[in-house]
Amino acid sequence: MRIKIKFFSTLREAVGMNEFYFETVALTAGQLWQELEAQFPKLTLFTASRAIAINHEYVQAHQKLRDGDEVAFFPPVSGG
Amino acid sequence: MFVLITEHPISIDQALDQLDLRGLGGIVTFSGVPRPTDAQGQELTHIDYEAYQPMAENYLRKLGSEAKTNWGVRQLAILHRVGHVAIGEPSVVIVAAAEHRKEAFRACEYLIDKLKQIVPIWKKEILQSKTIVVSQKA
Repeated sequence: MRIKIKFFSTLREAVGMNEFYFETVALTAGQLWQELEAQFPKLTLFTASRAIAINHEYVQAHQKLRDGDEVAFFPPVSGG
Repeated sequence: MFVLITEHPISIDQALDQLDLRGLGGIVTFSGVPRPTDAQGQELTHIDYEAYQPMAENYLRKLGSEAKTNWGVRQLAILHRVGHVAIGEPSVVIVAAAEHRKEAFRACEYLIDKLKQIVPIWKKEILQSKTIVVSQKA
């Protein structure tokens, strides 16, 4: 399945990319993160603190993926 | 409800211009403005803000709907700046208008508190000598 990946803030800086498409066999957002960690080892630093959103909604790691989803990973927010 | 995430300067006047305040007795305005120093007292040159724009707008609207449901506020504006924000210029502006002041105050405080907790916007404080990324503050 093909997923649109987005990274923000410190995760974007660690990976060096803000957006790309990714072919995955992962069934859940958490499994997708593990695949991305294997590809970008620096992401391991963020595993405990990163948030996940699918199609602009916060989700937990066990959330199932669907083909064409936009999945974003990012650190704790700091707006305001 | 007026929600805006923009690279351009924002102001309370701009927010008020978007609202119909006729008949409303309590109009609370808030602006958040970058301070000239960081938590360690080091001088900043400016702050860079980054947003996941569609999700941030989505959550600002959700929060606005919650504020309307919880406190009956009638008119709301929430504006957040992204990109380069100079020290002393507003990075966030909120207007909450209700028939009475208590509801407007509570809604405004709720909105800025929740914005800082969940809305996907990040700041990077730019120092004279180096850069520090600020993660979530309590």
